[in-house]
Amino acid sequence: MKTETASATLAGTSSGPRSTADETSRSGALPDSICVGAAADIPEGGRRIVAVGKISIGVFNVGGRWYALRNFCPHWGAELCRGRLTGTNAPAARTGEYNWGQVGTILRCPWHGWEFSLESGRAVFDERLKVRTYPVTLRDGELWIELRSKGGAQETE
Amino acid sequence: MSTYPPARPNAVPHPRLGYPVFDIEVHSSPPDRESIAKYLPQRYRERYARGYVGPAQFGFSQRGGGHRTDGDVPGEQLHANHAAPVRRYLLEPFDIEWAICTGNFYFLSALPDADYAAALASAFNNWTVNEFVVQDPCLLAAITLAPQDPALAVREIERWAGHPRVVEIIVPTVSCLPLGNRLFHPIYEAAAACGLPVAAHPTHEGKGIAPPPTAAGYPATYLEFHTGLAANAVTHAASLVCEGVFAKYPDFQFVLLEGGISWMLPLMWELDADWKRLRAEMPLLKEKPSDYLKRQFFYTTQPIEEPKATEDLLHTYEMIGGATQIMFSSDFPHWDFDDPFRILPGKTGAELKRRILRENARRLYGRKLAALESAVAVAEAA
Repeated sequence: MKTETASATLAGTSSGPRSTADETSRSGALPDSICVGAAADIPEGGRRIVAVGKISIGVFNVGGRWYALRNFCPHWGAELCRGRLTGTNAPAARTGEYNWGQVGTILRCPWHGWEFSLESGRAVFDERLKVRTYPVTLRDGELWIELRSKGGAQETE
Repeated sequence: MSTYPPARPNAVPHPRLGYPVFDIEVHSSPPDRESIAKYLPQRYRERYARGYVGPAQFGFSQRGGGHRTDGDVPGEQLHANHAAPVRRYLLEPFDIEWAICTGNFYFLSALPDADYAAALASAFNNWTVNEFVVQDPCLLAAITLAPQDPALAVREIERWAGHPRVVEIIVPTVSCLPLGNRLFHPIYEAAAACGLPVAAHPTHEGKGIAPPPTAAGYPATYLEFHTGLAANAVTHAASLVCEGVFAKYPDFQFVLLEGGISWMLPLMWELDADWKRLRAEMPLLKEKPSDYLKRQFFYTTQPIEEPKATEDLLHTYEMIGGATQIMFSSDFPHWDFDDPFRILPGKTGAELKRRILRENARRLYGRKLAALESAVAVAEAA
């Protein structure tokens, strides 16, 4: 798996990512969207973690799609987006039956191994448990996280 | 030992707790076999360096391995084979005041050759104290024993007891006999005489000369194995009481690492109830079993039990005397890791939380800490 190191993943956090915030209308609130950087800088299988105000968001490039999730595990608060991208076994009906799937789009927490769908942000063991996901859009080769609308993945170019 | 670098705690309080945390379980592990082989007598070097450690590598593997994976490279396992990652991923982010390095040589008691096991214990302790703990001023050491030959184990205790950073003895829970058996009493007597608590840690149940990992036989999965360890812990705890270890050695203190906590409540109920009827078979006991357990048996938080309502946990803790007996353990760098700030309620249980995260350990290891901290004060005054 190709991944980026801390220095790369933290790029853009020191000076703060560019945003589309309307400062006058939303005092102290999150902007509508933030720019994560050039899409070309995050290779297939790679990821970037960005700080947005007090929260942290992970952006992933997997199988030709972009995903963005809150970097916070609802269990004990680990940095979820530092976890391994893997697959999982769906429930089976018979002894010896294994339904291995969702390869590359299951994010496993780096602490206790809870599995989350990259696509929906939902925990595999209980769909009611959900990590916030964000749409990712591409504008002139730049990646933007849409902070004000719900989930969904975006095709890479 | 006069040249050993001075100890110094991380005095920075956790910003949200208001005090630093005491961690009694860091799994320091040698980076390679040569780190240990060089401390072995010549006759054992080849045997260890060429790969023979004794038991076959039978075991309960789990998806993703056993370690935390939130380091620099997402998904890669963290290791405690050098102090730098311990400082970076544990001591600093969680404001750990002191951390006890409990090693990872819990397979020793599964080895059939008692002399070899004892030599490996000595070599490992050399590495722990002289190569690992020495790297960071707030690291403390637990001395690992191979209990097969208690006389050799006592010699190992006496070799290290005077070292300023050695605060504890540790034995594997893997055992051919329950830990309260009279064969092991010389170990407990020596540790108590030196003022060192004895900790015990599971892992290699079912390997080598050890009995099956559960009394019901061999399970199939890691989850069954890991939860089944509680049944072994029940047996060890009952054995320590019934064979009179706590009664014979009032200064003996036993720390169960990674063994769970809540099962102790029904065990106390049963031991106390049946002791009234069967006490004549255990004439060493002067008090009811739970009295000893509430004083001399200590628990660690990791992996903390997670009932739906945390209040249930606190209620259980209260009933077993946990306010003085439970201590925080991180189990670094393993995945079943608990953030000290998050594991217990901070408002309703603030006092209990403070005791678990810091005060109980400071009291248990107080004798050695007093010497270390007064040396720090003297150095700062000079």
